[in-house]
Amino acid sequence: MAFLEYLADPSTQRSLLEQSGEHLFLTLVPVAIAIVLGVGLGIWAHRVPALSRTIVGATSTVLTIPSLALFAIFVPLVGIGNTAPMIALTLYALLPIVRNTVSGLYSVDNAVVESAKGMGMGATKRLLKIELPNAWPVMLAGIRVATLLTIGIAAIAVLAGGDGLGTEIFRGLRRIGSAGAFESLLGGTLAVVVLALLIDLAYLAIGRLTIPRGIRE
Amino acid sequence: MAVSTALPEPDQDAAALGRSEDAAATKRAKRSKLVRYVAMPGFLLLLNVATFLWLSGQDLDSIERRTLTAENLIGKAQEHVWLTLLSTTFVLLLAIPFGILATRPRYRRFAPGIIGLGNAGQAIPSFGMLALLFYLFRVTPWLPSTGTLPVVVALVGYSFLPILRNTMVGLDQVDSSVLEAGRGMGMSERRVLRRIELPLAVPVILAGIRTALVLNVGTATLAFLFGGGGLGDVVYNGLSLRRIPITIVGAVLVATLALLVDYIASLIEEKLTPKGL
Amino acid sequence: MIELKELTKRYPGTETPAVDRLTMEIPRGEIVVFVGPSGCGKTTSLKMINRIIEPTSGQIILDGEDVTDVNPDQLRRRIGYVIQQIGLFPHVTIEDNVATVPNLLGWDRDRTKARVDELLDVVGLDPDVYRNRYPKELSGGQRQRVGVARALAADPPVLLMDEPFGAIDPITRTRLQNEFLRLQQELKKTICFVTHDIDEAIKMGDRIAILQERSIPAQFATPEEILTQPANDFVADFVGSGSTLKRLKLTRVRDVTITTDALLGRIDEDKHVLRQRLQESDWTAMLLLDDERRPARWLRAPDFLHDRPVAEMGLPARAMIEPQATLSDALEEMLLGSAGVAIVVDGRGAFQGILDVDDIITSIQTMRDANAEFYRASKLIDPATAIA
Repeated sequence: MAFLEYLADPSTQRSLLEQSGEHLFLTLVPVAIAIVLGVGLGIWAHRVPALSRTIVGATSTVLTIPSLALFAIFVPLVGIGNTAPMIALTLYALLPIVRNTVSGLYSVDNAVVESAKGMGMGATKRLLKIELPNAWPVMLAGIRVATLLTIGIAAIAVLAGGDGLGTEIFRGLRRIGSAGAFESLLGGTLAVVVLALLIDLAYLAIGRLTIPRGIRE
Repeated sequence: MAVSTALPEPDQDAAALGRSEDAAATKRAKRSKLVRYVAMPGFLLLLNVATFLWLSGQDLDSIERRTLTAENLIGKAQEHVWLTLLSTTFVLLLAIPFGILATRPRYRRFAPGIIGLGNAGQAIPSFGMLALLFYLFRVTPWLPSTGTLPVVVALVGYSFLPILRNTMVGLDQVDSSVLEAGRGMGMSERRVLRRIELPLAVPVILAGIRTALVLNVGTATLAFLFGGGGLGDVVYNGLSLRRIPITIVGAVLVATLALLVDYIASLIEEKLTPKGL
Repeated sequence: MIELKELTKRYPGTETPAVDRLTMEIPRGEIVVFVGPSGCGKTTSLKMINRIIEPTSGQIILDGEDVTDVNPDQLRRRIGYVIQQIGLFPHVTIEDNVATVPNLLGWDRDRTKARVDELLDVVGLDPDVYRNRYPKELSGGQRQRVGVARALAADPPVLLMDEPFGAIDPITRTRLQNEFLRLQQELKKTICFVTHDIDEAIKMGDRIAILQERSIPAQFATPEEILTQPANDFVADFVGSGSTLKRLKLTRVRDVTITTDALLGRIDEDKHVLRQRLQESDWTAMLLLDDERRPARWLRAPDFLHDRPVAEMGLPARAMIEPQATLSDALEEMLLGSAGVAIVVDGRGAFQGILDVDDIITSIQTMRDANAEFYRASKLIDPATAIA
């Protein structure tokens, strides 16, 4: 089958691997930044409930904006290339993380927080040692969703001058009608799916490692 | 033990106090509701006015002037809206009945599989899937390969699984105890569906409509890649030609359209949801 | 000891305070129970002592020290706190749970570990088994034991308990109450205990404060006084009907004379010897003990007609109570057991004596006679002056 030949071709393998690396970079850096920002915003929103609706509302508004447009908005600021998409991707990844941080913190049993308070644990210590660890499973789920979201959208970065696996997909698109188009389309798309599956497995492993036995389902 | 004499006159004053507190609270609630309704349109208005003002202060070259005519932009917007409406209508006509069917007791066992597929499908990038579906259309001899049909089919194909999944999950959540009460009273399966499940499912369906609209207005932004036009074309033009004014105007218009669609859908959702749910 | 001076809690936006100038002294080493109807502010009052709820005005004095304005976190590390839903930290082990306050206070690891083991033992949980378990693996009763251990970890002189046994099934609750009372006999902590259950209050309290709305005490006195001299109708209604039966909770088995000379036998004795002994006595039943003098079986004459080994004859001995149990417990056991009497045993289960219904009735009559005098005289007492 033509697709298998395509896969077997070393130059295909090279470019797919290279692009996968780029794609991971495009995904993981924004997610990392979104984790820092999102968890912080989430903790703040949890502390100040009046604020939470505004914060969650703002992040969900951002998610409604189509990706190409959000990429494009930053291009005049930082130029063509990876940076504009990465800023936009960071913003996209915020919503799941903020929302799950807030709901995770709310899900911690009141009795647990009160007994910690009653034993003389200060507010910061309570947050770090009691509330966040117990909210972690929900937070991790949000981070996972954010990552999968980002992997998908990152495929569009190529349209704003970025790289990643979108390059291969776009290559196929431009050659529709001639040979090799389908293979490139499929190759690029499948590579993204494979990457997503690997990331998903990684999160499963992270969950196993970081969620204490006492609160595992 | 001396009892405090500072208590107000029993019932009268307490009730008056309560009433005035209630009135204040209602006024506050009304104000915040108003704010919520006006916030998004207000923001969009400001955004577009600001963009327009900025634009009029710019020196535009010939390409920019040609692209940024009202005629051109409105035309692109119309294409975009048309694609969104078409694809949303079709995907709902397919996904909602399918979703209802898949949650019937008879086909229950397929449900987890389908939902799992829908979950997995989230990992497929829109860009890739649209392109593949479009390609399939191109390649199949007896299917039209030009015009809006391939693009619409691609859009429908992409949004089908997510909408189906949401519908199924939503229907599942319709309180099973209510359903059991219905069957217990002797209602047939079809009656339970019509009299109990569907009315309770209205919010689910409305949410599905909103999700479909937002999803499709977003993916329709990429329609230009497949000859479908739409506002994404303007944005991409701006990016590939390195013309900032075109880029900005395109992006602002796309964002405005998407946020407007979401806003209107949320109003419809709110208005049509039966009270008490 | 704990002194509460004009403790008041007023929530913004409401006219009447939730707690209105509560003034009370909780003597050192005693359990004082706050009891009252829902909404009377008893939990709010309790939570003001460790300032989980900050008082609007008033003072809290702990052993002479005014703690109304000190750093609340540091204050709470000196006070044990047990709440109804327990609130064990689900994400750490039992050991880490119990070690919380010692860790906050900076104890070294060995001292903490030893203390955790000691406390788990004290509350009846084998440290080797439970140390590394997680809260979700424990039953409700076990969790509450850990909750108590956790509160006692840093050996605070004061303990605050808010309906600690409320979320537990009645059988386990009774057991925990008894064990806690035994613990308190050794530890002699100053305890403020909140409950809505007057029976629990009578059982647990050295002193009871019956609180009305805004936490105004209707009566603050010992359980006996509350039962025999209710200060007003509110108290009398709250204590409820069946006060005679309730009074049975005030007398312990060890306080009444029990019959020590029952007809006894050993389970390893010869059947014919036993039969003879029974026939020669006036008793209608014989109690067989095992080699550790623990009651095993009841035998009557007809039981000897069946040809069975001694260990399977008659009925198994049930209804055993320890001397610190109340007469109320004894009566209950009597009704549940098969012999119409309760067997008094010591801590190891060895036979001490027999308590039957007559003994209980005599006890009630004694109480009643003592009170008849009292009620006559009480008509002359002004209820207002009966409040502490």
